Amino acid sequence: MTAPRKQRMAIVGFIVAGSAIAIGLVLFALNEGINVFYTPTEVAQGVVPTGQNFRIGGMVKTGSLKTGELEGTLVEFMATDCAEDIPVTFTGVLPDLFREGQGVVADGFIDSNGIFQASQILAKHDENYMSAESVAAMEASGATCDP
Amino acid sequence: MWQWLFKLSSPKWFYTISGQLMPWLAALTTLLLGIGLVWGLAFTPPDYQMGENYRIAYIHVPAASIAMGCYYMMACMAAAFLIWRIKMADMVAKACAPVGMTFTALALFTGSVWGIPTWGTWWIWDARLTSTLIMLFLFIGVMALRSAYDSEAAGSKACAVLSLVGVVNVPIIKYSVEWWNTLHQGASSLSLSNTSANPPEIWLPAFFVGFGLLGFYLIAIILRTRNEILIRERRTDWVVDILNTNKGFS
Repeated sequence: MTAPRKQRMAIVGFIVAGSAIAIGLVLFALNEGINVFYTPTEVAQGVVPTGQNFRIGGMVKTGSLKTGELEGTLVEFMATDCAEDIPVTFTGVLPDLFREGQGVVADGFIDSNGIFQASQILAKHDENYMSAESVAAMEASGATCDP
Repeated sequence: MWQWLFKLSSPKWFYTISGQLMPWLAALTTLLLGIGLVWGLAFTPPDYQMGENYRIAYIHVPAASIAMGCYYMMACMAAAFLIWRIKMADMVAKACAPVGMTFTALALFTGSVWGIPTWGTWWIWDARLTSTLIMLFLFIGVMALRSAYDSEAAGSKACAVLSLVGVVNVPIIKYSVEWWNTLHQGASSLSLSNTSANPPEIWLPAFFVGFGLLGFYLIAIILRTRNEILIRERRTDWVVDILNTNKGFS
């Protein structure tokens, strides 16, 4: 390989490596800020700044969901990551996928009673796609807490 | 293999070989897309919680994969152009930008359409969605940059550098769902058993659609590259010959 080609190859390598390092450092510095939600464990550890809006993400704890009679009325549930639980209340229309044992991302703040007042509830879908028959077959083997 | 690649870097050879390949590629693409879409959209079982609307993944996942692959291809062509000054590489890179942009836009659009009933929102600024949007802007930026130059050589070089700078975004898209908390779900681990999550009856049609869309992608790239060859080589004898023999049809 000739010298100018080698030189150009080095320049291309420098461009790719340089931009990768620059962007890598930015992402490393932003690390926490890039997360779209905090887990209940992080909230319990106090890493979340108090008195401002943020999102929590977890699973709707099985057996904790209390809904009103009508759609759009008060909903209460515990958001869990299997280690810590956070009580959440919400008034409004829920996504169709929202139910116990399902992943959830809630936007809101923690009030003085330690209850997360959600202004928006999003359902987090997992990466598992299957038919109802498969689910029936799997449930026979027992479900686990895996948010 | 190397000799064949070397031959492809000659515009005339590329034009001839791609012209011979095209009918086969078109037939294979139609076949794969036909099987995959009918199978995936009509004959797979509905999802246990999303029902029918998960079927949009049969378009969304292949479109997003091809968009990312297209960016890698554009960056590789940019590197080949910068290092070895291969003009064919620049022509293919030029073809990649609008095609990649379209696939990225398709992935974002189908994702939003799926997000409304599933998540309850069509958009969230999580790492996966944001990095994919950045890829869309990179494709658009490369196209805009090229058209901003009057001199073709200067535009090609500038685009090649921008393509290389942006390539770091592609692994970020891929691993965003592992590195950060995102609303977007992670990659599915495919199973070989029909009684577990992500069984073959669900993912197999996606592979047919995926390879079909890949064929469609290659056809789009080849057609655009062939046009570019005719424009750039319009003064060479072989292009003048082709244009003269085709005069009757135009």
